[in-house]
Amino acid sequence: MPRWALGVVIVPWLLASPCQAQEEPAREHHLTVAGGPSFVSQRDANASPLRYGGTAVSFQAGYAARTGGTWLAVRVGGALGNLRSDLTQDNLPRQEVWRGWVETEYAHVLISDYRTRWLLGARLAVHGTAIHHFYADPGGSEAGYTFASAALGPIVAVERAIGAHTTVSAWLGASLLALIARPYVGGGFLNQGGVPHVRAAALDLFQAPQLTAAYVTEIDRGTDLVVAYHAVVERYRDSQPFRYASQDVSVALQLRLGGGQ
Amino acid sequence: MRHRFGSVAAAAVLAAGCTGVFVGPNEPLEGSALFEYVWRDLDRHYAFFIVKAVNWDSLHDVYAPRAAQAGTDAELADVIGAMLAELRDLHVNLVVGTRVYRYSGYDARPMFFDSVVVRTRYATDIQLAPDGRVQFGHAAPDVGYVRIPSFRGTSPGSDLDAAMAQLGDVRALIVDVRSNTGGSRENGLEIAGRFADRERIYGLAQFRDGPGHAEFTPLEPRLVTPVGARRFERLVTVLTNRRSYSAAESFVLAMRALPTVVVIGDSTGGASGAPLARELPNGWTYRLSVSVEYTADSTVYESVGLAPDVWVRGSAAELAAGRDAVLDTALAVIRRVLPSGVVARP
Repeated sequence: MPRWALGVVIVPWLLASPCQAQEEPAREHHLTVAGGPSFVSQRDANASPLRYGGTAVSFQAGYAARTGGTWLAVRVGGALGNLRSDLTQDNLPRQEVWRGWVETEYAHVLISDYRTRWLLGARLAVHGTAIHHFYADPGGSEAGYTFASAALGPIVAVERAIGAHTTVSAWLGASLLALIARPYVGGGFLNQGGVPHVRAAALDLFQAPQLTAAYVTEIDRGTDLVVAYHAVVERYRDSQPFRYASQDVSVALQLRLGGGQ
Repeated sequence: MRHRFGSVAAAAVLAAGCTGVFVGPNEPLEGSALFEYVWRDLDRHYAFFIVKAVNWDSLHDVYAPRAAQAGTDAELADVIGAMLAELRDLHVNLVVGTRVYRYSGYDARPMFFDSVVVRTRYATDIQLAPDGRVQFGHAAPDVGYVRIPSFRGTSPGSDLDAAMAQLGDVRALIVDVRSNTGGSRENGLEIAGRFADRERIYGLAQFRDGPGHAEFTPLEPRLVTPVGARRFERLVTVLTNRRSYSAAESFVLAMRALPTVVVIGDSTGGASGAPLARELPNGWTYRLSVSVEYTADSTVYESVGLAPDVWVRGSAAELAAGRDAVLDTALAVIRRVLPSGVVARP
């Protein structure tokens, strides 16, 4: 891992650490269940030189604990979609895409006033993509392709109260170092022989920026409605490159357990 | 506030519609670039360069200039198709519209099989199973005859169950996969599993696993496991010829791993690698073999085929006279083996 990459992770943590001592924690727990449409585009050169895109349905469950100075969150989610290419006619060729993720993030409040909080922290994101490709050849061939990443990187966020019971927030994350697991060729879950190759990838090989913007408003005591936009991009540089992008618009119910707002 | 929220939501939906921007546009592949793409893809993933002693770089040197000179898509397809045919692999082809470019050198192999002779002289009560995947009848009052012409499509397992139920209490069975050109290996294993007494290793396989022509995954066993509520564990003869290919060969391998099976006929065709489909931006598709398949004793049978336990080829003259030499031999073997009940492979 390059030294500058270590610096990008560690320095913000050192900067953020004093806040923990300054804040008197009033712990609050959140449980969130979200769902909505996801707009997906991807190109796995193992499967096809063509870009495939379409809509998916995504869902996510999350837990978060926050104090005045810290933020800890764990999210588990998935998406399932049916993608088409420029060649697709009569639903062939097409791709069914399954995607799953587990994300953990921890952040400290860097700066705060009565309306705005700036946070800085780190995120560990494990994402897996499985593609079931249906070819338009005379044999009606099918094949499976997989790509998985475990990426660590910084996150920066800003939250702003825009009403008595309403906040907006934006979270930006990126990967600095990742482990990539990918079979060499078509295989994986449909064909035998799809033994994943695992390799470390720094920012030059793997980029995975994420952006989340959320609008949170209280709809009942202890219950919030969350409307969010979430964009994920994965770009893996390889002899057979992999690119994936999704933009989700989700609606979530969030339960606040313990503490106050 | 509602107005602001609505604007944000609308912007998000609008942005979501152009997700493809993050992935980038499709790269145009035409002419020599298309040729190079196919050549490079096979270079990275085709499994039999070493087994077939193919110098792929030399073939590039031969065909790349021809691809560069191709003036039309049809001429380019001719060049790529000719290059792929050099691999002499039935699992390698190029499909351009309705035209299929493939190696045709095996088409002249004799099959010496005529279903009409079987139907009129041997299994005269032959009929189709309910889903039409299997034909069955009696080759003798106590010997069942089952023909499986293909392993394509949906599973033929239920058809075999129906056939066995109607054949009654036969003492031996003839399973005919002559001129069966393959299909799904899983379909073949679903049939073979109905004759299996327990799980057995019938072969080995390894897949291309790196850019080097010698880079493969470790050998992994191919297994045949018992399938179905009712299994036939009496004497079975399997009939093969030079047109038994691909999934039919996996089926033969799986069957000959069983102690009650004798394989009779000619060697199989020798088309063994697991085929993987590919597509090109202009709509053409092609296939390549990505695995090397072995017998259980680690012998590669690609191009060569699987030798039977009892070799009988037959002839056109015998067929013309209404005699099926392979089926005659199968009945003779059954008559010899049945009294002792011991299957002793030659």
